[in-house]
Amino acid sequence: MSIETYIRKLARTTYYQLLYQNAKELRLSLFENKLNLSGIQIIFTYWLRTYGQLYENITLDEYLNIKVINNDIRLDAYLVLKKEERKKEKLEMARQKIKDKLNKSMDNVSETTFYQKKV
Amino acid sequence: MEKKEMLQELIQNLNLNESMIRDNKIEFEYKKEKYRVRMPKAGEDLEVNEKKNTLYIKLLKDDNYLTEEQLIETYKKKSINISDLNKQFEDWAEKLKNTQIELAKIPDSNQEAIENLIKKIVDIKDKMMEISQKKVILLQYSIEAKVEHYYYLYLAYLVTEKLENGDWIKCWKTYEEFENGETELVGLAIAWITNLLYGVKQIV
Repeated sequence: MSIETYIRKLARTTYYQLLYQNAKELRLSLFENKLNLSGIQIIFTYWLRTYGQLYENITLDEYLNIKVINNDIRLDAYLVLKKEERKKEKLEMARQKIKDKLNKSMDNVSETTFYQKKV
Repeated sequence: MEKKEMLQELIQNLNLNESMIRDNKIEFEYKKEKYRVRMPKAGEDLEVNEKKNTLYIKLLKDDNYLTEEQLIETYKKKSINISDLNKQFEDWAEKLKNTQIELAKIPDSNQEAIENLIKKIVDIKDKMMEISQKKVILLQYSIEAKVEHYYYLYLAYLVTEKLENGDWIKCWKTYEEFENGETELVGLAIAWITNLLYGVKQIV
């Protein structure tokens, strides 16, 4: 088993998920050291947060279910899909912003032309 | 067996356990003795970086060594093109992304399609790994690769400790002692450091 597979398996366990979710409220420490986190600890925290969010959204997304969460390859695929969707959304929003700006400036131009004609 | 291959084999066979994440140290056993590697302290970080920089400048002044850029140019003259490898890698990465998106949309009821796509993804990842390893092997003779390798060796020397009479003491008193140390123990220490720094820095 690779270290990444092992860390992910550990991070999605009920024990660590509960510990992570309640750590702040109960003032529990995830690790014995508070500073100078190791690479494994940083990656582990990332997966704790990711799995936490996924468990929360499990009923909200048609492509997400427990089988997907428990299979690293399927979950990676799901995360790539979501990333691509976010990218597209961002691009669409940026396009819409430019479109709105252009429309606004066109309105200003026609307004000015109207007043100029009137004068 | 090459040192790098030995290291890869050691990493694959390490006994992974929960204690690895409890704190920023990892304990391991070698010949029934207890050892551990720990995250470097700020001063040690500075020391290892200084050593790395000194070696980099030393090798840069030596005409027997080539930088990565010079090595890539030398390979080109021998019809070995690193940029071709990069292009191949990017093409596979694009195929991987498209296959992953396809897999993500398959419902659980279509198990056959899921299994086929998973197999396809594993194959693509293997191809990408093959290309990466080819590149690492070709560039291992560059100054950058040598300096990076030395960085991890020096780090292993600095942060490996041995349990003696209930106290953790430095495993090797000097770098020379470390260099002449048991190859397998040195390999194990480096393998565990690679895991400890996982995601922050990787050597193999």
